[in-house]
Amino acid sequence: MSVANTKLEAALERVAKGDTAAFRCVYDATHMKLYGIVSRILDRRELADEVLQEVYVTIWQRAGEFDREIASPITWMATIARNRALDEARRRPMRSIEELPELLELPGDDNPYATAEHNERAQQVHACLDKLGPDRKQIFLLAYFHGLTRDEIAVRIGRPTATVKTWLRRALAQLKDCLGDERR
Amino acid sequence: MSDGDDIEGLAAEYVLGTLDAAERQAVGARRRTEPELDSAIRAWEARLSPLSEHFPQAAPPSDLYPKILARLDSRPRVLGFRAGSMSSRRILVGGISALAASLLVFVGWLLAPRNDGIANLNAQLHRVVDAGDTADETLAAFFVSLNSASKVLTIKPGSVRPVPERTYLLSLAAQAGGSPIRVGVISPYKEMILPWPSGVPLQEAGNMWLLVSIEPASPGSATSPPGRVIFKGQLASGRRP
Repeated sequence: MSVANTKLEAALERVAKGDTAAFRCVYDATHMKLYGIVSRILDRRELADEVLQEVYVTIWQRAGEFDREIASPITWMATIARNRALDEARRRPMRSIEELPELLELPGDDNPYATAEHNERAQQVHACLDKLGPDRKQIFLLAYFHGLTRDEIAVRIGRPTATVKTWLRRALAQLKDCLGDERR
Repeated sequence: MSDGDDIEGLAAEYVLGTLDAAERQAVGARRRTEPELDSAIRAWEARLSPLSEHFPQAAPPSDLYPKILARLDSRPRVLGFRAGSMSSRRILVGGISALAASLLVFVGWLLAPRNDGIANLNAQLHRVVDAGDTADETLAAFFVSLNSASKVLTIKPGSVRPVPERTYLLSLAAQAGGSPIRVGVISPYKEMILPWPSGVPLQEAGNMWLLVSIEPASPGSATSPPGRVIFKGQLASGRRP
C-alpha cells in the first residue's frame, strides 16, 4: 500500500465520523483526478462543476462504506465519479458526428497512488485490450473515456447499433476471459 | 439471449458506459435488489479500475469547495460497516450496538399495537403532468414501501434527479380531499426511512396519495404548506419495488 493511499484511507475513516478537516484533505488530494474524469466524460464545464459537487457529497455520505479489501480509496472515489458522470451524460441528447470525440492513443498514466500490484494489473489490462485488435480497442476506449453510447459509437464508426452491441459484448467477454474472474 | 439472461453482458456495458439512458437507469435500480447483478457490476468495476488512472487531471473552479460544504449541511449521512476494514474494537462496539438495537426492536414489537392485519404496501411515484395525472414514464422517480408492522416508510430514489439548492419533501394527502400531511425530506441520492405520520391511521394508507414536492434547501416550518408537487403515487399491495 502506497503512503498516499494509506493517508487517504485514514482521512476517509475520519470523514466517516464527520471530520470536515479530513474531508478537506480528501478533497485536496483527489479533486484534480476526479474532475479530470468528470470533465472528460461530460465535456461541458458547468455540468462537470455541478456533478463534481454531487460526487463529493456522495463521498461524504458514503465514506463509512469504503472497504479497503475491495478497492483502493482513489479507485473507489474514481468509480463514484465516473458512474455519476455517466448518469448525467445519459441525460444529454445524442451528439452529432462532429461533436463525437476521437481517441487515437491511451492517455498517459501519472498515478501517485500506484503500487507494484497496481502497475501489474494495469499492464495486464493494457495487454488484454491490445488483444482485442485496434478497431475494437478504439471502440472500447471511446466508450470508457468519453462515455459514448452504442448509438454514438455506431455513428462514429458508420455501423448499425446492433452490430456495435454484438462487437461490444464479444469484446467484453474476451476481456473477461483474459483478465480472469474478479468476483468476491 | 436477452439482456435479462445476460447478466454479465449487461453489467459489463453498465460499467463501460454504453447503455442508453433507460437501460442504465433500469440496471442502476435492479442492482439494488439483484445481488447477482450487483456482484457482476462490482467485478467489472474491479477489472477496469486500472484504466481510471489514464484520465488526465484537471483543475475545477476554486470556488467549488465552499459550494460542496454548503451542500453537506442539509444531507443525512450513511453509516456503514465493512467487515474487512474494521478493527476488533469497532467490531465489538458494532456487535454490542447490534444487540442493543435487536433488544429495542423486540421490546418495541411487544409494546407496539398490532397492524390489524394490514398488508405491507408499495408505491411507485411518477412525474405529475399539468393535468394532475402522472406521466407515462417507464421508470419511477421514487419507490416507496410501507411496513405496516413497524409503521415506517422506506423511500428509495429511482430516476429522480437532484436539483441544486432544492430538496424533496414527501407528504400524504387523502384522495377524498384535505390538506397534505408532511412526512419528511427525502433524498435523490440514497434510501431513507421515515415514520408513518402518527395522526394518520394505517387503515387509510391505501386511500392516500403520496406526494413529492420540491422545496428550498432550507425547508420551511412543519406547518407551512408543501410547494409544487412534481411526483405522485398511491400505495397498494403487490411486488416490492
